[in-house]
Amino acid sequence: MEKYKLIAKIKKGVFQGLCLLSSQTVTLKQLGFPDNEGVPGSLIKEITLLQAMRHANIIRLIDVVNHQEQSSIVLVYESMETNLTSFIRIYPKVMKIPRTIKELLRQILLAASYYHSFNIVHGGIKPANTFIDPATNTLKITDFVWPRTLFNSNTEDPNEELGFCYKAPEILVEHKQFSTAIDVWSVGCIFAEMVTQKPLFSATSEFHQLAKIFSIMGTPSEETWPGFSRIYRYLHIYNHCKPKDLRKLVTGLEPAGIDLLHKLLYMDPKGRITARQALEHVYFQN
Amino acid sequence: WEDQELSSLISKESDECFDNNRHTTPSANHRREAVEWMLGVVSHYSFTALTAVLAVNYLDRFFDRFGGLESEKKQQQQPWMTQLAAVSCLSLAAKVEETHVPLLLDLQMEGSKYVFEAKTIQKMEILILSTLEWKMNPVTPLSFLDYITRRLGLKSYLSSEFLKRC
Repeated sequence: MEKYKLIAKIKKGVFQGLCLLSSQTVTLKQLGFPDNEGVPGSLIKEITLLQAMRHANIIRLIDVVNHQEQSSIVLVYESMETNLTSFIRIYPKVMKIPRTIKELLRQILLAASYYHSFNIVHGGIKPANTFIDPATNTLKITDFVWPRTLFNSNTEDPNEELGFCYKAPEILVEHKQFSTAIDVWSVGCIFAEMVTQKPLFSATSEFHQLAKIFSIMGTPSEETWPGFSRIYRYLHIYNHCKPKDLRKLVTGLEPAGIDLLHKLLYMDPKGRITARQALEHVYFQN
Repeated sequence: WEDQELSSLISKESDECFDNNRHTTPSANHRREAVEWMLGVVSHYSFTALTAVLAVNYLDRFFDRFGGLESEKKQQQQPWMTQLAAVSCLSLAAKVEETHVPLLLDLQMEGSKYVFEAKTIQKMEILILSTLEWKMNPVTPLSFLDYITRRLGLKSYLSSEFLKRC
């Protein structure tokens, strides 16, 4: 830890720091674990993976250091200042340019498809975890909630820190429905938000979130989402809603963009487009 | 893409390359004991061959890096140190590779001269992880065998049977 100097606390267990060797600003995340059975196996596997990940649109894990006489570890990430939420607030005019939106969306999808190629579900894609360098419009996703790989998805709650506005319907219903498709949904929510500069599905609580999604995308039926009534036995308490016209809700987006948005926000995860397929969508071809 | 896979294995392997010759030094006895102990536990719990290969890989890499700092003599005076490293390396390998991992205390039952507390092992695990820079998925001889059996088109049953006998 002597290589790094703490500057400020960002939130519980997460600090801004300075690398004394390179004078680079870094983000430090402290991880402790109960000392009964050593370092958790899932953590070993994940850090091994994260260290191997190199992508222009993912905030890099620079270092893992021991802390407090080897009883906890600190993950050291490269640091960026402006997240998407503040970027929209500070540069509303830049965000109105269709090309900017397209370029930012492309970078989020590149990051997501890179995670997914390792079978890693990010599980926490939201504007607060998406950083942009205003000088170059380079976008990078962080994994401060630390992404969970598919092999241990049953043992942990993947979404405790995910803003519920960006949660996919299947994960709101049952935490077992954990797949790469939940990230694609979150990307869809961010896409709409970049266009309108406000969250598409903004409910007041996690409970109301599902109703909010149904009110816009339509309440699932056996035709639109086969088997949904089986995984969710409270479906009958929701009003039957017809899907709204996204063109009217997400105004100013070109028709190809609306088509892509529909595919990203496809209710049934089995029918949802993948990040990789989305990158080949006609929206990106001009 | 298959040729690409082979060349990426080879380049990754040469990046990870370490000086194996160090073990011809007096500490070779310690190493042999430690490896024999680990293999005993591996067979007792029917761990896979990969777990054994990983555990030995971690141990060799750890002493390769760490041995440079600690003098060989000091290591000889403290055989418990080698044993603690062996337990920790085996525990790490089992956590990376096995679906069912025995408790740290159970791992040490196989004729161990020293028995360490879980807390002590955890500290050693963290020391090993950081010394190995958390690169716990190295290229091993098994990576090449796996590649070759797949290239030869051996059915998955045959190839897993083959790997078991390695």
